[in-house]
Amino acid sequence: MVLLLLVGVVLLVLVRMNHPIATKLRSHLLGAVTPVVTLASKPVEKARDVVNEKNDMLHAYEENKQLRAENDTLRRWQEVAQALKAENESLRALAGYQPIDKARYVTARVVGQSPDSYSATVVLNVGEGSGVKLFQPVIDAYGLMGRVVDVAEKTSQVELLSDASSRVPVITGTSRQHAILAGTGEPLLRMTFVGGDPANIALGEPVMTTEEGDLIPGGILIGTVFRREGSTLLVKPMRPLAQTEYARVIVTK
Amino acid sequence: MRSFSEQMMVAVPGFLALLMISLFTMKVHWLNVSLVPNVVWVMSLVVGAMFRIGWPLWLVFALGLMQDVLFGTPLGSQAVLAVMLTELVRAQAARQQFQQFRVRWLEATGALMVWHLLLWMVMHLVEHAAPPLRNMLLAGLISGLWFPLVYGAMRLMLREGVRS
Repeated sequence: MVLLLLVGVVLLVLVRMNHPIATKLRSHLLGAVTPVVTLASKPVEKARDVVNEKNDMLHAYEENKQLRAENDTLRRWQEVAQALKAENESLRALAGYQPIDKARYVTARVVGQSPDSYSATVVLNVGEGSGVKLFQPVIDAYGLMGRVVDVAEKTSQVELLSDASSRVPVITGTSRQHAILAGTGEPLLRMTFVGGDPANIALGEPVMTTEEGDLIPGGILIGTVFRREGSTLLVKPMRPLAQTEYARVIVTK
Repeated sequence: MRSFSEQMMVAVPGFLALLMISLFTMKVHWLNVSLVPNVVWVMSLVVGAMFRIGWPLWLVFALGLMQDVLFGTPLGSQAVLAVMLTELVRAQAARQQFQQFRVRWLEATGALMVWHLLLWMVMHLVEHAAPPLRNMLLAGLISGLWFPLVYGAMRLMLREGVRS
């Protein structure tokens, strides 16, 4: 028992020191566990698919109506976007703007997620073999989900934005205020170290990533400013982060 | 040749590992806390220790490490806590033998709450960030509510084992 406790404490010290041994060991363990996770998740996924299919059938009519309305709105936005794109391109040409390297994405399936209140992580079925590296950003259809914190050969673990230890540099859409978006361990995210006066930030403003820190490409949508609690602003992600089934890892900027 | 009961005792950790992994894929939340606690395996360890099942400590440690990897807690935290908890419950097993079920339940819930509290402290200490304490304690409470189910399942399994 004493030996096991000693090993455990040494491991914790290594984790505290961010020692490469701890990172490597975690990656190896993740690689070993994931095939079993994938296999064990099959029946659960199958059952979930059946329930989803049934729900889809039940709500098809309402969903169709909603999609038609959304489609109309999107068509109007498309026209606006095309005009803005043309304007943007001409302004870039005038300013001699050099574009950043095009991003390359690796699409992955979420094979596991932490269903508890300890941490907010998901496991993807892509790893080093697909070009995934530590700290690369992960997005879904709605925007940024989080960053890769562990990589094995065929799997990787993603720390979601809602995790208590997550910190991401952001900028607000309209007031252009820089801040650090911190996870709280709860669905809402907290804006910290706001560059200017938080009072200038309006509720409902979109929040997106910035190039600061050079780890995450700028302009990826995260969510909107949802609530003000004193001087603290809380951001609501575009959708609950852990509910994604497919994700994309941005492997190059 | 091993009796059915002995075989079951050996197989239980395997079932626990599979159960734990299956639960890893589930998404059943309420108030941001999972209704299927990830400490089902710890509960099983507690109940197993109550029934004096002699799981080797290295296996408890290994399962703890697996939990750490799957649930993103600092590597070694759940492993160390699991070993300590198992030893503690084993030391109390003789005394608990003559207790009523509700007292056992209360003690187990207390142990699970302390488990969550200690894990929260270790996370703070090692990572300088931890989820809200309220969530952790709520998770501990939900784990406690699952105790009768795990206890009943283990008892049933052992009774069947003895019959065979």
